[in-house]
Amino acid sequence: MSMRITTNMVMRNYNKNLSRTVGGLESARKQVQSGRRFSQSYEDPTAAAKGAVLDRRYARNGDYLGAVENTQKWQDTQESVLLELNEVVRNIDRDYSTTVMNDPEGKVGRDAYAANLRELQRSMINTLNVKYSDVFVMAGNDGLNAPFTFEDGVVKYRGLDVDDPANQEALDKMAKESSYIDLGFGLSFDDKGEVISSSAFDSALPGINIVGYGKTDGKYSNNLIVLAGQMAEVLEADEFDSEAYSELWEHFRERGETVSDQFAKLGAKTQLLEATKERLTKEKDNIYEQYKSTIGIEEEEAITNYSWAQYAYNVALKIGTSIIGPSLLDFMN
Amino acid sequence: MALRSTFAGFNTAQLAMAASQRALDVTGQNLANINTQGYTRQRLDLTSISPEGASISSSPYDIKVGQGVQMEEIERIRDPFLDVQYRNQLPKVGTADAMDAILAEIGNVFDETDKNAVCQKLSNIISQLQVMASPDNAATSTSDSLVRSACEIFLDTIHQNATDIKGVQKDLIQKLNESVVPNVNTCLEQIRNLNISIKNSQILGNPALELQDQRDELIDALATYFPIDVKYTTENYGAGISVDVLDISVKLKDGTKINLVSDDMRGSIEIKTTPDANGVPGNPVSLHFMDTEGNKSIDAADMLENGVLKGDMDMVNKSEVYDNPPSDTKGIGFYIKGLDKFVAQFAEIMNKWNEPNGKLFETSDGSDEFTASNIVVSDAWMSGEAQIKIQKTGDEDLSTDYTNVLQMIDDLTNTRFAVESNGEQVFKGTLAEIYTNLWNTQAIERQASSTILENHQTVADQISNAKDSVSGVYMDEEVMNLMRFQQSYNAAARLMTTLDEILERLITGTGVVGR
Repeated sequence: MSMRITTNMVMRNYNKNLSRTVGGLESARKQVQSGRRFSQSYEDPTAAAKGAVLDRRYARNGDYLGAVENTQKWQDTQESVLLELNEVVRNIDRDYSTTVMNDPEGKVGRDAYAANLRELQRSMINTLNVKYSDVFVMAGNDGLNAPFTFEDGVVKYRGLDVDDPANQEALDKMAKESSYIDLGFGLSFDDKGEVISSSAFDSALPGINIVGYGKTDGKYSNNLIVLAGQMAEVLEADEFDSEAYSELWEHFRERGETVSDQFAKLGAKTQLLEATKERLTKEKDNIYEQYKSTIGIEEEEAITNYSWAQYAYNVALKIGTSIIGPSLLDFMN
Repeated sequence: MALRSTFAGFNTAQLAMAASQRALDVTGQNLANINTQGYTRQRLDLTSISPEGASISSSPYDIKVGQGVQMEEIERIRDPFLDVQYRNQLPKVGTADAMDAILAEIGNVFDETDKNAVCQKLSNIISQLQVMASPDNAATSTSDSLVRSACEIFLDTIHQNATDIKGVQKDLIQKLNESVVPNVNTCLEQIRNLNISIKNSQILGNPALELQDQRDELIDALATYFPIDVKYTTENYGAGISVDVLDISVKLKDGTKINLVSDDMRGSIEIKTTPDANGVPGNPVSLHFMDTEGNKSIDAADMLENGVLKGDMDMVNKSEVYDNPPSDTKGIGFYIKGLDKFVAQFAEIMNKWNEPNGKLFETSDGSDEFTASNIVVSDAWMSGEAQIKIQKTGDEDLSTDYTNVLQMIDDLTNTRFAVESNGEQVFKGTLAEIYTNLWNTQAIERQASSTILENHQTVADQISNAKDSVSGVYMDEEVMNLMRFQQSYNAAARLMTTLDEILERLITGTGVVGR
């Protein structure tokens, strides 16, 4: 016995299929309008999960890019400090060496030079106490307080006399301070809760690393500012001890090399920042591409889908008009 | 030789005409109801009347002829086995439908495909902390307020989500109370009333086919709510009258049956909710069946195999791994508790790294555990009394050390935490993964439930087609019947005319010679 096809059955099945076609048309239209492959995560849970991960990576990448740009500006300030200090050192190197030692103008001349040196001392302190935003750039981890003070010829870094050997240990610790910036190098911590240095970017540059601290051979200060003061003292003496001056000046020149060294180190860090910025920008594009291919849909594909869904719908409608065809009733007389 | 009654043939013709007329009526009824929902096509059963009885004189030369056509009954063409199949399939569709609808509502809360919500706002908090983690920003009060604002916005979204998901649960309980249970009870009442009407009709000789159709529709509607067992028994009323008596029972998982309708008696169902702190009906919800004798059953919420009631009760009551002991369904409670665990972990991280500068987050109701509804920014942080601790412990004298902020960020982005329930680990992942796990779980559950729903619906449709094939009205067939019975009526009328003419000849034309 063959199956009877009743009118109700035909209508019901047609209805169901038509609404399915309409549903397909609707989702194709949504794809075209929104550019997304799906609008609710249950339609493709895997892609939605991947999309969430990519979202997070994109946000972190944005954070790192912002941090790189901010750090570049911070470093620019540090660079300008180094530039100025370098100028001063070069100044002293050029103008206060052989000229002075020959003592052409006698005490008056020497007094003038001494006064200049003292001016240069103050200028170096001011340079070292420069701020970026509201924070002192050369102060290591104590950025809210001016790092250098200069009183009665005594240079203090964060309250500690840089010449006093008793402060050597404390100053050593301060010289090693770091301000780590997370630039996406895989920031991690050791057991003591300290940042592992290779996993972040150190933006700190404690001032005493540039101008020096402590004493060599118990006699000569390592600090450029103190040395300049000591040179001025020798100049101001009634009797000019040119040998002592010469020794001081030699020592000053040696210590002056530190500034160039720090300059070079800073240069390397600047390059690292540039390279990181490039890498992060490229990564940002990559993440975006991946996101589009996971969640988004190509325009051509979306429009093709839509056209096909429309065609299927039109065909279904055409069938609909002939679904209740003539029956025997129409042929009876 | 046997005698033939002179007027005998008339009876045959008259019976034939009546049968054809009645058959046309039935065809007309079928055609009129071609679009009626739940209508079963009817058919007139005709039997031929056989000559009965002995005659005083009986001879081998007797030719006995049948006495015409008898209308036995009008019957409904229906396959009861298909009915059983259909009623077994309907509760499966019901469960999947109920669960799919609720999962769709849960999806509205957790699905972040198209909107910037919890994930985005958590990201913002981390971004603000990253901005803070630089020497120029660490110690400024602006940075602290920016992080605090990001946290406030995040908590706003969390509170909204908590309200929404709890709203889903409340709405469901309200639906059960105001719609599902009354519907079922009304169904049972209507079936009982139809039972009485049909039985009375049948006793009086009317098979009440249309009422039976109505009753079948109601039984189908009932079958979506829970698995039922339908039994017809025949009762004899003497004098050759027998009527069908209907029994409906609900089938529980362990095989027991609770009688819900028995002839003219009915039972009912009832749910009991547990009011929460504000007196609003909440979960757990228990389900009780009252049988026809008035006995109330124990809580049957977990004893149904499938059906809309099971789907709804499971989603209201169960939280899978967060139940004690763990259950088998990720109901609404699973998502509520999952969100609570996420929030608690967030508060724990932030408060831990801020010791001893004071708590950054506290509970609004004073309880020890953080939930999505009670987490707030602490009063101390709001007033500026407490601020984010930026320095590493032991380095508090360094004004711009911010190692602690880096630790906070690390915990918020990289550290994997274990989510536990009843002492067992339920999930392990970073903070953001704990939330996206809820989102993904919901998506997968919904995908599964909508596929299952489609499958069950397809099977139900196939059975429906099969039923239609048997019971549906087929226009061409009915039209053929029209033609057929019209012809048979014509033939019967012709027979009557012929008989009439014969008798006319006999009565007025025989034995008249020369008139």
